[in-house]
Amino acid sequence: MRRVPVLIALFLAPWLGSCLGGSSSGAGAAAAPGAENALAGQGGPGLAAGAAAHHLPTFRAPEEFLLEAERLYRVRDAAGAYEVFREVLRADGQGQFALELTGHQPAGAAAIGPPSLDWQARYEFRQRFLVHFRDLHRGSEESLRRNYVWEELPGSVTMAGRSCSRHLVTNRYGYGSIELTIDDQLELLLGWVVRDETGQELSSLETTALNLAPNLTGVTWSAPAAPIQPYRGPIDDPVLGFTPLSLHYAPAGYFPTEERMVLTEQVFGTSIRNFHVEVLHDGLQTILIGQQGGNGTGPGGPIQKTIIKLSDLGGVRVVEGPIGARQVCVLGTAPMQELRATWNSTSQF
Amino acid sequence: MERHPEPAALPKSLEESLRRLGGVQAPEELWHRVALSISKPAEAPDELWRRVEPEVRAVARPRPILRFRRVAAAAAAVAVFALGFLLAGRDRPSPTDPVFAYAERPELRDRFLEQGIAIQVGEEQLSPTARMLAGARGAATEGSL
Amino acid sequence: MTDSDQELVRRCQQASGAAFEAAYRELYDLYSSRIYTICLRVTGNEEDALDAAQETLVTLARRIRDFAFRSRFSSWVFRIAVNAAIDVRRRRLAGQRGSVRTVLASGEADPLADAAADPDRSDPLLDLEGRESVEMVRRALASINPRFSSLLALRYMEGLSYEEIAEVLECSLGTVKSRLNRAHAALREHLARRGEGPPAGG
Repeated sequence: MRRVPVLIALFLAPWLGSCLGGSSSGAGAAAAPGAENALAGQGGPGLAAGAAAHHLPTFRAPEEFLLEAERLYRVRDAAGAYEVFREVLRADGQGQFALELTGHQPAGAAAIGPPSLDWQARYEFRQRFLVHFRDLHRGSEESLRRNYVWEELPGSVTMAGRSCSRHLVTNRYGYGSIELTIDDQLELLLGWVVRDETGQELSSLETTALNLAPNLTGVTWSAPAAPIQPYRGPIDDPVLGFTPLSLHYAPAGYFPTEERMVLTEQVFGTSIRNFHVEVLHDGLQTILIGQQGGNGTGPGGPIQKTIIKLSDLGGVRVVEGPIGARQVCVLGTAPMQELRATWNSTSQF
Repeated sequence: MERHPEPAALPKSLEESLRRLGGVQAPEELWHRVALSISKPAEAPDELWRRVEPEVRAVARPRPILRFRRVAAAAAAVAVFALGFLLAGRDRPSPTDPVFAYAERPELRDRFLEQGIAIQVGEEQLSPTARMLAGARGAATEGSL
Repeated sequence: MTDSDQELVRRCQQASGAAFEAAYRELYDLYSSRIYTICLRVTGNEEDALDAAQETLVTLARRIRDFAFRSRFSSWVFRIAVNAAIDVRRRRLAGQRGSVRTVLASGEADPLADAAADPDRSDPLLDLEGRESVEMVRRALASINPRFSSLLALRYMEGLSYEEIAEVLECSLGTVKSRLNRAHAALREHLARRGEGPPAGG
């Protein structure tokens, strides 16, 4: 073997490796929602196996509409008590929205009162995440059919003065259930209740007032608190500052839909290091995998002696720990051992 | 057995109007369309190509041409690809990777669960980023943001 | 399932070539107008109804060998037709998202509902008032939730019982009744809002 070719090949190897390996991270992990349909080989409407099965209910998220909606978000805390947040969502039907906190009832409080400045600031920072990741969004027909058993509940229900249908959606793998309240006319998701695998209510959202012709003059629309860009693969590692680790396990029915870089260092300096977020979706709910880099770029090493933190925050479960020089967390509502296995799998090389 | 209330009746005139909307004769054109469709083999819907295209494009990406002797270059590439792979990090799994599945895999899960030492902690022992993400996901965490 | 349906379906399943086409043509003659009617009342216009009906009938032809007689054949046919009609209507709405969403939100009729070419207008047996009433209801069906318009079509145009509808929609009897109740309310509310019918509560 000639020395020159070897040296040049050594120099080119990482780039060559990524070229020959393809950009499956870009094409796959950043695939549009419903990319898991490729696994099921779903055909087009009217010709697929689903053509002879009843349609699953369709619903769209409120931020897609022109509206002003007052809602109550109720979430369980780590001690098993519930906190209530009164929110107002305003949306222009063209993609812009704003989520404002107008009331807060801490656990143990008798009634909803004005929110603290701290909580208002948190909502202002979190609003885009809450709407994108906390609130429910309908995934592909395939994922909904494969992951959930659907049952329309009999009886009429009204929410925010609107006639609605109610649906009980039970996860096929024992991860829990969700109750959906959908506006009959607009097919707008007005409410939901998420329960865990024991039947415990984790969180709920109820729309209490709905205005479909709001005056949106003067509304300050939400904007990302820091630059957020799609993560395309190793080519973006220099921008991110580290190489994110890959999953080798995910809970049943969860598929990747987004992979993003949150470039907090551009706004907050090194006080908040850049982090990478991968989003898994099962047709209704999300799992977030967050990685925040240290200075290392190598793979994870053996984790036999690593301390892994498990935290049940009530409405959300979190698994966190260090892998190599990175801090990795996995969070969602799936059972804790599923989240932990997902976390552990990122340490695999 | 639970009895379900009967739906509230519609006014007779409304019922009559609905009935009158029935019985529409299918136009001749429908038969022509159907006969033509079933005499041809089924065509893959356009959406199938839309899903396949990213993978095809990835496979079809032109390989860089190495300007040295093929044998040496190929051997060097194979030898150092492994090294480059080790250094650059593993490619990220795609949605078709067996990492993702519509089925429980308890053996795989249990294998991963064997590793590490897990401890239960409160919110305050999580990192600020984890707390922020948990809050973004809907937990009632205070944290810094 | 009627005896003639069952016999015809079996002939389609066992035949091929010209024999299949002949058997299928008989099935087509039995069901095409019923399928087309459902599609027309859900989509609201002839073009979309043709698309949805074509989709239904082609699916029928391609998948008839999969039918295992576990339910009524007609239930299976109507299920495919309802799904196809709802899909076509939603695809059209999705393509018109910005303008139509706000229109629907304000309770106005779907502007895409084709009022011009409806065959009912030429029915000489309907008096003027009857024609106007039918026309108002026709437009209402094209505007309300397609799951409601398909349910109303099955109940009043096809004359299906609650049990038969439950088989088509693969849901419980209780769900059929409550959904029909909401469909009635949606229809009355739509007509009342446009000043075209009795009050929603009446």
